Amino acid sequence: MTSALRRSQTTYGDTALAVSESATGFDSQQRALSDSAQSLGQHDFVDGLQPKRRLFEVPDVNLSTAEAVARPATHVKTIPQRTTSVLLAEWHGQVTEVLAATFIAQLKGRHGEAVAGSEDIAVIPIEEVRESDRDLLQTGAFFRLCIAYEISQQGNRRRYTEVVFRRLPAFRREELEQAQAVAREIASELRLE
Amino acid sequence: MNFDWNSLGSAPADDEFEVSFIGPGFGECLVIHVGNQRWVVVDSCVDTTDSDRRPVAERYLRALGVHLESNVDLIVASHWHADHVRGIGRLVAQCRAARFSCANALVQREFITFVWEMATASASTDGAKVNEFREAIHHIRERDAVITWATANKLIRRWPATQSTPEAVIHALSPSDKEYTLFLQEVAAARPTATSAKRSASATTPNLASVVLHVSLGTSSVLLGADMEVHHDRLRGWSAAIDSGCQLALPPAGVLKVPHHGSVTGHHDEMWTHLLTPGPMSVATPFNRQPDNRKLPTTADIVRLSGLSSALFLTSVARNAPARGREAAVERSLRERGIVIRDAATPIGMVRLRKHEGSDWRREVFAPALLQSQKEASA
Repeated sequence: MTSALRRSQTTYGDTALAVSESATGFDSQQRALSDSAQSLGQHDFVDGLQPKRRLFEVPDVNLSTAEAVARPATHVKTIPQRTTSVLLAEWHGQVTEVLAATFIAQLKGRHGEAVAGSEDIAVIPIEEVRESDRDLLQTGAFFRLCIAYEISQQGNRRRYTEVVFRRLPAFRREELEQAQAVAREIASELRLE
Repeated sequence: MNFDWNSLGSAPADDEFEVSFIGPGFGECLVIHVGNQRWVVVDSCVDTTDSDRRPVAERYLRALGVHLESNVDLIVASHWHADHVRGIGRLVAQCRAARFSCANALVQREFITFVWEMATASASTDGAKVNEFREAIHHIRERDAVITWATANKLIRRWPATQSTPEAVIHALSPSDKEYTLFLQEVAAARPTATSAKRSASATTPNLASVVLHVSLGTSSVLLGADMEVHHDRLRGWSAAIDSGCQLALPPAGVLKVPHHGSVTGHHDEMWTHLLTPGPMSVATPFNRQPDNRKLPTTADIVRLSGLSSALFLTSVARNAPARGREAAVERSLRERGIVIRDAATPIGMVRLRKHEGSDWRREVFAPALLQSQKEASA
């Protein structure tokens, strides 16, 4: 099962597009989404069919046996809904080593039962990192790992896991020049023997 | 279980040599009594179970009733790695009579500039390592203290003999001249440039530039291997440090702080034959902040070290973190996504060796530290 298929339910703003899997695969879903969105006047939400933010996924659902399989490939329905998120656990991490298929990180627990305040070591599959974040995956990079529930208006609960890398601002020339001046002064004043 | 700092007894006698190895599984700190209530601290780590995260040396010495402000004579940072410098800024601040010593490259303008440049990003990157170093330098400047830079073949400190105590001497066997040059080249290459994204200050290869120390009190000596590793170039790593020890004609040491957490990358046959007595007592400080299959020392490391030592101690144990009561849903998510999270914190343990001149080492092990192996005394 590809990760694309596993992520078959994606929320755009407050409108959910529930997409079923079909025998024709993911491409047909994309066409179906496109057709449906255009007919619904949802161009803003599905521009390029790239979700602006993946809010949840359904890793537990076996799509090959789900009820959705029986539906036609073009079956798309819109469900206006408001959702709330309940954060179960959150860590802040720093990458210490990048391996072939995984990366190693030091974590500091920020939220959650038996998580907050903890210091952990983690091995995380690289496939958990969004494609758009892959360029950030390097030693020393910072990220946030969180596990949460998304609860729909109808009370349906979905669990999701996210690894989000931080894009840090750039060093500023003035800051660096100031630091260099201070360092020069310190180095000249140290009493060495 | 928290370490019981109140169970450590009293300070050594004036003429007693003490070397205490404290390690929580991430980080190490060596506390040495060189006679007459003069103390030396090599490296620093913190008690993570303490809300103030105090350095373990501070906790230990206060527990013994030692006056940090006047009785700590020297603080050494063997190298610039998080597991060796945590809490060193606070320690320097408190030990107001202490000199500070570190590798010669770390007090050069190039490295200080690098530290201050990287510190401009520390708010975004937590900046632990550069902040520790900055804090130490800040306090040293504030009281106009002397920094003794360490390099191969260098006498770091000598305490003359008194009526009750023999002479105590500390020599540095590293880093070599070549390592000094290469380290500063790496620092120059790692310096940030305007418009490059902020990042944490990650050390390049500081292990080879770490400070190996030989400490002696009277006829007893210990070799502190820091995180020194081997290198095929005779002018670098352990080869250069061994040559330094031979040039100084230092007496073989009967106690070893095993280099680089027992890793095979820190093993050099000549260290055992040239710088140590046959079958020394060895103490390794485990490095647990790695996935289970990469913790140090490995089983093979322990077998190797046990074969070379009369006794091998570990200051902590590599342990599989028990289930810690995370929510079942969190555990399920981690399992489904193939994410493995282990508790990085391991409890503090301590191995303490004390001896009077002319007597044998008295060994004390404070759990979870353990005597890993011991050879039967030969007839």
